[in-house]
Amino acid sequence: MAATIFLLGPSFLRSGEKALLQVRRDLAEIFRAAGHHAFLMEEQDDKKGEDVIDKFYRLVAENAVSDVVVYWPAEAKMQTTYDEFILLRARMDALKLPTIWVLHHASVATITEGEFQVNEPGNRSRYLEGVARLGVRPLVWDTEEELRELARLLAMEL
Amino acid sequence: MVMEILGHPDYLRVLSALRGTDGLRFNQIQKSLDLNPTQVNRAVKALTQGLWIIPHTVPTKTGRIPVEYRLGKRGALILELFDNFRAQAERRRTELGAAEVEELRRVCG
Repeated sequence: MAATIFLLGPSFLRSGEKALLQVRRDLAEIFRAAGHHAFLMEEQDDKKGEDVIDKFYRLVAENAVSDVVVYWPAEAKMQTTYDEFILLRARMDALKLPTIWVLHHASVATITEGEFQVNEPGNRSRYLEGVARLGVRPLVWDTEEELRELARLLAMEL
Repeated sequence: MVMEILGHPDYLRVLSALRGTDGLRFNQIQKSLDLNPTQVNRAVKALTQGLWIIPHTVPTKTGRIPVEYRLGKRGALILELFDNFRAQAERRRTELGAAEVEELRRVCG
């Protein structure tokens, strides 16, 4: 059965360069090529009168999202993604929470002897820890080639 | 990638230990297979990389965030394939040799 995947993550590097949105689009293509329905918030039209929060919850509900895939690279502007994490957490009791997959760069977090540890500095770690405490499936990658391979394997798992 | 799994008995043993469970933590895998932490670490890292097994963070309110490992779809499939291989070996025991068949049973019995 095909999964419905909501692909979250940053669009901009901390340097301001908008290079990461295309990575998410490429990941969505990998999932689509495997027969899944994958979408990005940025690709969806706004409805009249709704704000970003309304739109986020509408997309989760309307699409019957089965899986949220979070793309978490190093050196990215993560504020929007943090906000999305907060939205997921805030409604976790009310929503049927989709399975959350966190595809994180090796520098962001590690699993050491069965313990998930976030390596992001200061407040940046609190957001990922908060999401990890929901019960997520963290998958690590180091290079973009590994990330694409991981997405290919994940498409088979879903 | 498949040959990497077949070439490492510890990897197959970890997959086998996860079969029929709702997930095992690192120290549970270690105890059930009598492996040392380095062996388990190497196995879960390699198996996770290929999504043969899937790490899940265990929901917690505070403190450490433990991880448990569950069998992925590909992991379940490779165990099934290995079962078939082992069953064939059992049938051909006299030609293959009892010690060799026993070796396969020990790895993934």
